[in-house]
Amino acid sequence: MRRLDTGMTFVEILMAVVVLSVLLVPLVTLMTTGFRDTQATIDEVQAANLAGELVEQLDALPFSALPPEGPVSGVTLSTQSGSLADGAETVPGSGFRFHLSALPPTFSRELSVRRVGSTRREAVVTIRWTLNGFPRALTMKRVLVKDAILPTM
Amino acid sequence: MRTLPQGRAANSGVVLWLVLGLGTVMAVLAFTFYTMVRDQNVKAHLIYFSLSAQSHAESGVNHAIDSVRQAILDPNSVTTKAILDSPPAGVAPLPMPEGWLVPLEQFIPASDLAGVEVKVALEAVGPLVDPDNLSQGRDPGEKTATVVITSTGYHRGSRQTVVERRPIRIVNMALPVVSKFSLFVRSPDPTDETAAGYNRFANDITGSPDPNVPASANVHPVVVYSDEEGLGGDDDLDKHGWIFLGGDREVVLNLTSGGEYRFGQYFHFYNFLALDTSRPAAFLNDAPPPFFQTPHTFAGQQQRFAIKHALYGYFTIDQSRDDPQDMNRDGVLRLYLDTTTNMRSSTLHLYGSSLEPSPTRVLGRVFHSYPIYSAVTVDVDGDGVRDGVVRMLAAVPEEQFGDLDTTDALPLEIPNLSTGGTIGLDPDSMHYSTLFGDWEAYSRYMSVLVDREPYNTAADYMRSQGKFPPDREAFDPAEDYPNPGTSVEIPGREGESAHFKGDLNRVDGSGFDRKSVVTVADETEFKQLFLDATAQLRLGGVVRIASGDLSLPEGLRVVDGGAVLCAGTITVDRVTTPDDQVLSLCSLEKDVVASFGGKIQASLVALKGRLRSGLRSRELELEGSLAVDRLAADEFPAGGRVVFDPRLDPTRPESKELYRVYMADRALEWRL
Repeated sequence: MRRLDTGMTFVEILMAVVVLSVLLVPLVTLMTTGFRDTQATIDEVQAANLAGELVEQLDALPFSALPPEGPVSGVTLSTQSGSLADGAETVPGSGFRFHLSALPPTFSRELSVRRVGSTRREAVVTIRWTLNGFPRALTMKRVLVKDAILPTM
Repeated sequence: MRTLPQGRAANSGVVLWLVLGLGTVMAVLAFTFYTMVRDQNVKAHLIYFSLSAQSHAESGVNHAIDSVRQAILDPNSVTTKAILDSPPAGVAPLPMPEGWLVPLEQFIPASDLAGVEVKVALEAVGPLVDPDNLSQGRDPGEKTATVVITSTGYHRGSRQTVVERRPIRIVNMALPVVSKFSLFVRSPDPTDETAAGYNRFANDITGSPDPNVPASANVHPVVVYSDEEGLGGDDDLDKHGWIFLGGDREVVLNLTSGGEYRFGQYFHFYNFLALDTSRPAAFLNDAPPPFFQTPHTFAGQQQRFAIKHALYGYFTIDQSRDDPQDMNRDGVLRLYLDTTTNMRSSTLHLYGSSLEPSPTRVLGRVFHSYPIYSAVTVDVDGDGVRDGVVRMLAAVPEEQFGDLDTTDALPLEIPNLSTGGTIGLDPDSMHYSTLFGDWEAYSRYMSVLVDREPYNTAADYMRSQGKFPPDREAFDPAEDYPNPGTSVEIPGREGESAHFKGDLNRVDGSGFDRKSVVTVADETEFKQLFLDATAQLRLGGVVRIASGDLSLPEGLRVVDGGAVLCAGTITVDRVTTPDDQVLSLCSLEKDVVASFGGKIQASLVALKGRLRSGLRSRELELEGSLAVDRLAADEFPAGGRVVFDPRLDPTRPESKELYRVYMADRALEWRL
């Protein structure tokens, strides 16, 4: 009898399970949200880097190598078109090529270039992706201007 | 009553407490995890906002660069004027054209969430060259400065500021020093006892090419027109394109005889505003010996004698004017020149032509040479006009003076040109010794060869209205008149310091490099960038070709002017430059070869080389200016003309129109 006295009662265990269950529900929810937000963070950082990568490349390109060349405005190039793929020429025949990081699954990359006068282009880079079935996107803008004729002075 | 044992009492509720404790720990960990996740998420947003803000800021910089570039293309924009007029200062805001930020604001609309703010300033304004160094030409309008662009982009709470500094340069498209000159020759062909120099033109007494000399053996003159302006004001000569024939030795140019409209140079002795080049300039000696001061009666006729002098030029034949009235008849010119004297006249006509006189300043050791004939004339009817030439007063050495009366006796009678009859003379009264006494007195009246008169004296003749010698009018008496040699001062624009002060012989173009705003590797790159398939040239500044030669296409048409500085030889043939543009073609180390298949409207510069003719049968036809180290006297046997383009003159107030502002394509500093 004395040995029985030293154990836990069923009631105690039952109460512990109940309490633990009550505690675990929000904790699991919190963890789940955290994991989801972590993925969102990863995605957003990736998206920002992908956008920045393209914007900086555009800024470094010679003006004549900027897509589109010619009297075209509002042209959108998408990943699927192949023109905005890694290794693709920025303008056919220009010799300048995109050097782009591989896109993670569910990501896509868009570039919209608007011609403004003869010395200026306006570029908008949009990165799209989905997170848990929800569409996400971010954009980055850059004014691009014609470079000087040659290194001078 | 039975009590519970002590140990049981201690164990009672332990599990619950353990569960609660565990739950608390899990909750803390979970909350920490979540907080960290949220924090990372916020940081991810911030990374994006920061990158976006930076992109906005860089957009602002790009926009400002493009706007400044566009603004400085317009010489009348507020930006250009502000840069041109900017005094040395710290940092001052740079005015930009109205509405210049609108396109940027339309692309990145300003809001509480995102936007961009851009400011443009000018700093470190200074002279392009050392202001104390005037020996290579200094243009006080040429400056350097730095454009400071400060652009702040923001997105949500993230702000990024980019500061970029770009050098700018204010450059006059005309080259310094040499652009002041119609003709600039550092090492001209000298004239001495053994060298004819530029005196290679065989012409008759009228100034026309000598028909007895084959064209292949003759060298026609190159006529320099220094400006269209006349001699209206005292400072007109300063406004003209000057002429420099440098070197260490003298250059003596034989004036061409006659008044022929292209080549005759009688006009050197006239007030050209009342120009009469049909006959040589002549004047009576107003202090003759006593014999000439009273009338004499011979053969029943009262006669008044006078000594008349006439200023002539050089010629090789006198066939066309076999006229007893001609003071140069019988080849008398040779009487005044020894047999070795070159009778050809100059192939460089520095004061234009008789139809278009164009006096200017001639610098260097430059002289002109011409004979002054003297003769005894007679006036029978007392009307003050000579009726006949009694005798030329030949230039003879003292030992031959006594021979004049015996071997060269006066005629007893001479034709009376006014009446058609003759005039009788008394030979005894008309002996040279009777008229003049001794040789020393005679020598003051006899004909003379003026063989080293400073060339600029002609400018005074042209104002003298027949007075001989002319008063000094054209040049400031305080100057080292009229042949200052090679050390000169070229005044700057009004209110500015001197443009040049030093030895013109030392100007070799080595300082021109500093003006270049674009450098290309070679001719191929130059043509790719500045020439199109229809031979249209669009420079827009001073362009340097680092190596090799440059061969420009025939029929070049200048759309946007400037200057080309080429290390090698420049070949050019027919250039058309519109009135609102200028073009300078400068070989820094070698020659300029000009074919002159037509007019070349440009400045040709080869200060270490020469101007060569690509087609010697063609006339030199240049509208602009010419500056070379050497100009061979026989390089252009067909002659030609150099017409100065006054817009090139860096000392004229209007020359400010030739300034251009350039901004470098690379930043001095880029700071985030």
